Amino acid sequence: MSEPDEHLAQLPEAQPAEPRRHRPALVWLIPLIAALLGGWIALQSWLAKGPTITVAFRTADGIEPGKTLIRYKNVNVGSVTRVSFTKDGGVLVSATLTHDATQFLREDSQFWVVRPRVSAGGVSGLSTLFSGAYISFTAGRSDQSRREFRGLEIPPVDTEGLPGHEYVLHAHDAGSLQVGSPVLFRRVKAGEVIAYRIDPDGSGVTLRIFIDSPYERFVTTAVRFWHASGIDLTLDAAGLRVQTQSAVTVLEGGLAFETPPDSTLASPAPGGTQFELFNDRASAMRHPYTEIQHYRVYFKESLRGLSAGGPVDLHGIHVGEVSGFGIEYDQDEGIFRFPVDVDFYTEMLREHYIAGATRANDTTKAGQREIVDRLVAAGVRARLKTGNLVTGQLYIDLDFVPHAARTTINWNTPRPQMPSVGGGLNSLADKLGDIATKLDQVPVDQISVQLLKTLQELQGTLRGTSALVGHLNDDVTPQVTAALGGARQALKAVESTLSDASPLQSDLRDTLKQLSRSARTLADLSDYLEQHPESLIRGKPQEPK
Amino acid sequence: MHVRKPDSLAHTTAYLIAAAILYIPANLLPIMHTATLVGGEDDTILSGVIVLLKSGSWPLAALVFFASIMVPTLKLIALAVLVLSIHRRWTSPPHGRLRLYRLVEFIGRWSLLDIYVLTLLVALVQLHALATVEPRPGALAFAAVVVLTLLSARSFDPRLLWDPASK
Repeated sequence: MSEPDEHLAQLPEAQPAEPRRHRPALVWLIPLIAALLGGWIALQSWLAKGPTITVAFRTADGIEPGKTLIRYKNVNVGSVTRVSFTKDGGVLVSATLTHDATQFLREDSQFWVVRPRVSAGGVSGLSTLFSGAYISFTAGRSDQSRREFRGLEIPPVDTEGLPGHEYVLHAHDAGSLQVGSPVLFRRVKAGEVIAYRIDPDGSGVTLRIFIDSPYERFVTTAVRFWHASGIDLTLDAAGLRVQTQSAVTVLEGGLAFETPPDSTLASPAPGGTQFELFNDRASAMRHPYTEIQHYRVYFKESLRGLSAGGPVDLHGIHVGEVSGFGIEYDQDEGIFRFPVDVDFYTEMLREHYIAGATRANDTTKAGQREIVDRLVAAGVRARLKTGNLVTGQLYIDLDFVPHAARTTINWNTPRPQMPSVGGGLNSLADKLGDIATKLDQVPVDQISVQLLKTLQELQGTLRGTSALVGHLNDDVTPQVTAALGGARQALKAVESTLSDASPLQSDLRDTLKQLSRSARTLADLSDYLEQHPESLIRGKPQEPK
Repeated sequence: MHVRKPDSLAHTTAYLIAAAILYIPANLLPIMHTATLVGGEDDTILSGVIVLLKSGSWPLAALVFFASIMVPTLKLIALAVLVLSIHRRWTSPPHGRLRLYRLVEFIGRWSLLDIYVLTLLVALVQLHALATVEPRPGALAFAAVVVLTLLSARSFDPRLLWDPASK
């Protein structure tokens, strides 16, 4: 049995399979990948999870934990996690932000709740009508980062990243201005109010405004700001004036600015420049006059209708203002007097020179006084005049009064007295009053009684007259009629005597004929006698035959 | 054809560990994002269940809770118990564990319900401006957990349960 043995020998000897080396199976890659994936997701969410912040608000109106979002420039950067109470009765909103929002959380970041707001200037936050309120914030510029904030109740105006400049205004009061009120330049919206606060000492209000980019170059150092809020209704000696800027400012308030036309220092104002905010355009644009002459004027008329700031005109041209008026007691004479203080702006006077006119350019004090002296010498006197008949507003008119008593100004008093005269409508009213008084003194009652008596007597007289006339009628008339008939007959006789056919006429005609014949004979005789005067003596010679 | 599933225990354990790891993000991360006019909202599985419960449809909430939270969790636990028992060579009669395994295998397919619903939602609710539903990473993790537990259960060889007993 060698063959099988050989075969057997040829057979490879069975080798016990080496126990397979323990090799990690490929399948273990799966949990590894899962672990990596899980780790990566965890890392991601850990990295994305930013800081937790708290914002204190007055109320949590519209804020829901887990739902209300925190947005920066309308990008979701987190959500509210918790709403709790603060010690002072407000609410404290805790929120988790994403990691990339951390850089915007600065000391001066401002948080506010975006809710739908309807104002005259527009509607904002309309999308929150459906989505619910969300919390928005502005990035601060401070280097200090911060995690606890106090939220604003009114949304601020986000000017960050906008081209333009910010300016500071000081005002007596905020008027009807709000954050977001427009700032107008020539009635074009150039910017808006971004914040306001009461000065620490309570003496006024400081406003911050932002002027958008193309317009900030109109904000020069000489620019004037004024309240353009609402309707500016002025009722003064110049009459009724209504000034509005735009429909929005009527409702919402606003500001306007303008550079006075004569300002020479018109360099653009750098951002942050402080300005004063005037109450109206007139006071804003008023020239800050430096050359002021103070005068005092006494009037006999009532000062009712006069107001401080009222105009002072020189022959109808505005040259000054009433600075004040009141009562003065003259100890020496024991009488009350009513002085009116008047500011006379010589600069204003110069402004009114017509182009090309020669000017009184002497700006020295003496020179100015001389001008006034000459005016007074020429008859210029102060008079109270009614500027507006309806309102009775008075103004002071310096005008040339004919036949004014000569007077001069005493310059040695702090307030030289400007001579005045009564006049104008006031004196007219006085005269009318006088007339009324005199009329009042007329004894109308007595007059009327006497008048009545007289009338009664007159009536009696008339009655007598009437009886007389009746008597005349009855007695006299027939005789008169008879007389008239006689007269007519006489006239008829005269007529018949004088008619052509009357014997008198023909006799007269004959007589006249004979008379003219006699006259002719006489003329012949006189002719003959002229030629033959001797015939008077010798007689008429015989005609030779 | 293998008499026994090769490397059954290793496969099962590996899938199980992967499933367990992904189980965490699957439950913590939002599975879907609902964006409507009234804003967007991220929902995890649990928050979805809570929303359903709050809106009053508790049967649906129970179903989702059962299919998406109970089942995967129980499956993970069950598989862990099985794998552990083999590693530890428990000698107790394996019948109970066999029944457990059968249950796991039977019920596994139903736990994809969530993903199925989400797919439907994403496909149907695409009104763009008005409302959209988008899947979020949690959904992926959840689907991975379900698939991995399925694979884990499948690669488990129940005969292993008898090994300690036969020795």
